[in-house]
Amino acid sequence: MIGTVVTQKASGPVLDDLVLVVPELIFVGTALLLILIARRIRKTPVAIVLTVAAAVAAALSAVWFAPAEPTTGFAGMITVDGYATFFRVLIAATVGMTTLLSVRSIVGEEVPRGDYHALLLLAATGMMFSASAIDLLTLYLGLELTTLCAIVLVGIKVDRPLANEAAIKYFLLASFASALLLYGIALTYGATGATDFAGIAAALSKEGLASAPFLLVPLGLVTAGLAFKIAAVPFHAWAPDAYQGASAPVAAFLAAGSKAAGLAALGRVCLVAFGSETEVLSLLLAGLAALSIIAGSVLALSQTDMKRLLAYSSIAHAGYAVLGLLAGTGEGVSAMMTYAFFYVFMTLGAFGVVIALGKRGEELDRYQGLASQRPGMAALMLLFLLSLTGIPPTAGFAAKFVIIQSAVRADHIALAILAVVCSVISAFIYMRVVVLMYMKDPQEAAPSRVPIAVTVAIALAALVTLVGGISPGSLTAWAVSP
Amino acid sequence: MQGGPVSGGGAQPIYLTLLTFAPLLGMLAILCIPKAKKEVIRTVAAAATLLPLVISIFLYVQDWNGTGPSHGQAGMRFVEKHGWIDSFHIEYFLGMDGISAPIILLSCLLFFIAVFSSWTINKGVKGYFALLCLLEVGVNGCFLSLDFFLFYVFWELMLLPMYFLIGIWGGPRREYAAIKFFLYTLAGSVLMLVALVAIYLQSGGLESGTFNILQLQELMKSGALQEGAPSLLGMDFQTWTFWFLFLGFAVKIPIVPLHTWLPDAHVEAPTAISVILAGILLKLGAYGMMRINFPLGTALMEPGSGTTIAIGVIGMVSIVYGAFVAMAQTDFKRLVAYSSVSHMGFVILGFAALNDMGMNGAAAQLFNHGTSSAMMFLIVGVVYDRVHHRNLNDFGGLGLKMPYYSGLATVGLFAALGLPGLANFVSEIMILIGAFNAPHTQWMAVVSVIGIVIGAAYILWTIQRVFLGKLNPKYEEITDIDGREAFCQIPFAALCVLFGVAPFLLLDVFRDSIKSLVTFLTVAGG
Amino acid sequence: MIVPMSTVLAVSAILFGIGVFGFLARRNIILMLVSTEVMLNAVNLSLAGFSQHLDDPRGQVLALFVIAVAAAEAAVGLGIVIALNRNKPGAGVGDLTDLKQ
Repeated sequence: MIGTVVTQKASGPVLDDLVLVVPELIFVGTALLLILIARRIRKTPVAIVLTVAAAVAAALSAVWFAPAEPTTGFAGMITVDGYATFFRVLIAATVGMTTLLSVRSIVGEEVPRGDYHALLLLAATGMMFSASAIDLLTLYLGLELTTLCAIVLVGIKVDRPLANEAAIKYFLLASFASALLLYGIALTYGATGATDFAGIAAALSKEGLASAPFLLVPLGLVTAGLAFKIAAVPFHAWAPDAYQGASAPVAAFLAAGSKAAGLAALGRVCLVAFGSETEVLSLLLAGLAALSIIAGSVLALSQTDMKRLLAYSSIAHAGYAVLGLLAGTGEGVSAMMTYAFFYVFMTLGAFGVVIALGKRGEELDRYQGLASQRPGMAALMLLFLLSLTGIPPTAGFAAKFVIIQSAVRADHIALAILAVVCSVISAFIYMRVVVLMYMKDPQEAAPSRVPIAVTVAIALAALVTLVGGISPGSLTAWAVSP
Repeated sequence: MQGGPVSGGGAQPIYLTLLTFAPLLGMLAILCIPKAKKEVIRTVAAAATLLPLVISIFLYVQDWNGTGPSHGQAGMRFVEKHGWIDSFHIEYFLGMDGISAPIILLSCLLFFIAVFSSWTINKGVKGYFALLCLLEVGVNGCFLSLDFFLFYVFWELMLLPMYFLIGIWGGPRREYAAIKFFLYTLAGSVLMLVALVAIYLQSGGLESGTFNILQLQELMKSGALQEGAPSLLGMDFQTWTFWFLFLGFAVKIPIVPLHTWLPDAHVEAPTAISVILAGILLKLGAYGMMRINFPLGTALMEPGSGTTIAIGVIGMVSIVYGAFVAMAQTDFKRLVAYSSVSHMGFVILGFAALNDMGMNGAAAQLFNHGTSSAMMFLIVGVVYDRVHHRNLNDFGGLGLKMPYYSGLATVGLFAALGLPGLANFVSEIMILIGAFNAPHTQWMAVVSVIGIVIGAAYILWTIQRVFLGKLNPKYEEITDIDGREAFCQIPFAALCVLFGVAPFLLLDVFRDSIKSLVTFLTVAGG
Repeated sequence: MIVPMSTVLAVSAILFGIGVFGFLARRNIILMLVSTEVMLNAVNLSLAGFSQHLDDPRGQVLALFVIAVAAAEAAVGLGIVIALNRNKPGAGVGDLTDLKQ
């Protein structure tokens, strides 16, 4: 980009910029390769192997090529700092685990393997860009890439009316939300004359909301657009439908990856671009968080479809994570990062069990007697449900602890109380699953064998959930805010 | 767990770690034993609960003799302190004083007996005993933690085993009872979590905060935590955190009107779990108040303040209401459950009196109610195992067929009644005297006597309905108590008699600790 | 001819409002899609206007990107509509009620 970008560095060779986006390049390259050879690998596990390899390579390269100091690239479009590295690794892990989890769903039904994995990788590329974006343009492009790929993933089983319906609903609401976000971006640009976060922050600190109340409109629109991405109430309506209509691995990918990317974007925007408007922002976010937590917990109570139930749980968890952003401080953002990290693994684990049980896993009532038929699976589900409830010694408790701490720190004690009370409400629904698994007799035959890849992914999630509960610092010590 | 010992260079004793985590080893061992080897599993569980019992007796005697290692911080002994989560100043910090010594002994004894009392359980033996061991880890950990975070972790750790023990091995409405127990306790504990976090942040937060309970109490008393502290609904910092903690602990005790989970849980739980629930889990709430809640609210604990009056009224209402409702029960176990509400009300009343006598009585009542209520649930269990119902109106004359059982049961029931010469009499009379001596709780002591009278009535009536009168012809074939069942009850009966005739054996252990607690609560200034 | 900034803003705001209204009021999927396109074009208009007003090319660059993304979005959207139409001919948003509890 030409012009007056504030944080622009001396124009070095293009190679310097490319080094910053090695993980993204790996993803895009693999995705393109998969599309090229899609027809040849229809019946082989090549796509799975390639995608997992790409995810591992991306995670490793994200750490390996991470510059010691935050470095901006592409004329101030992206930055690679600890924050970006954190989310890149998290997103790469999500892609890897989603790939492992989807082994069964792409074998059983007619899904074009090459395209499926290419879309996963491209969506993840978009997520990574939105985590490292420091310009509204890259932020928008990253989020849009994610959303478009995710929409196709939701509707990838074109012959299933439910998938069509989910994709249509997701698509319509997503395009509406991105139009809102975009209008917010345009107005921000008009009001501040900048699209890069530093420039916006500089302009806002000169002339803030106090002197220009008009700024409330772009601020609200951008927040609303991002709230849609993390499925915070009142922008949550798409999530239950999309999760239910999509295949379970795609739902897991949306719940984990999409949420992490949205939180990453929201965190950076709130802290860096709109950092000087903490008061108003904090009010907006507090509203979002409170509504999400209440609605997510209460609406989950009446669900009988597991994916839908987990969708409402993800809405509530989006609310909890947003509590970290209320303070507008780096510590709060670290709390949000810790929450996002642990949430990703516990939700992937819970979806993993749903996937492992096949059709049976998707209906709440059919969990009856699981503990006597598959004690291991039931125990893992118990672990993830406890973690989602926030009971020690699971990672979910560590996450809840840091987030409550950051809310109390920001003097939002009432919100902290609301959050913990709602966690009791959602405990009710999670415990209902436990009752079915452990205290009822089985009504049907034991589920068939679980593919080894799915087991590996669930075990990985369980490991993080346990270690994160016993020694949270060892996993999230690198959660540094931008 | 990261980092080495934090305080002192010398080796720290590991009694308390052993006491806490020996059952965990037992649990792991049980999980490795094949499902079919039930006898082995039971034996391992017995061994895993015996070790803590031996240690706790040893520590109790040491405490009583005053020959333990030199006193640590604020009279704490056998202190163990290591870093755990350094970025939040969370420590692995265990310690024991006169208040925890008897209650730990009670806990270890109850778990040991519970293993024998559950010997006949045949469904899912492996899971049952594994959970029982895990539960003991949580309970013992709670009684020994001096780090608030650690305490909270142990506190929540108890939730799950208990939930499963009721929910899987319980009676017909077990799922309902288990979920109710879980949600009530969780609701209380999350409020505690908010207060815990707020107090930690006020103590210096991420830079220099602490979870050290003893240190936090000093800070709170000195007013250091009040500066710039957030208020809530017009209550200042100390007030709202106090009430949040109080609610968290009160659910567990439980006080009226938060008690409704208790009768359901008791009725559905298997005998051994009822024993543990009444004998030790309820005590945790009261213990938490003494150890954490009251010392963190010294400003509110002025004798005669609104807070003490409110607490006293809560205690009084629990005593009287519990007694009346117990009287109305026809289910033997439900009756015992409500009598627990009534007897735990005495503990609260003793707290409210805020003097040496009341507080000592409350601490003694914790122990004595632990033994007597455990015994009552065992008594119910024995007859339930034989006739498979608990309807009080359907018994009668069992004394003729079961003389040994009736003899033992009478000791337990009379102890609960508060008969002079048995342990509960001592603690209840101390509480009443203590409350009567404090002007602000005087009238409550008078009212609470009603509870004792009603208590005598329903217990005598129960004895009459179960053991006396004509033998119900249905029970011609009933057998007397067997060796195992007697073995479970005799220790409790012995303790009821022992601490009834020689109460100093119990009172001497915590006298000093209680004295310093009462001084800390009532005497102003750091 | 220079159009005043306020006029550009007003026109774009009105266009955006029309788009929002259309999206919320219509029950035909294609018309809802068109409404979002109208919203995006309102954004483009204001971006171009701001760009000229601020004498800064970035707004126009952004608008170009938005046009490209809008095309991709329309492609995805129409693809899904076709798939839906194959399974449920002539379905509107009102007919999409299978995903519910």
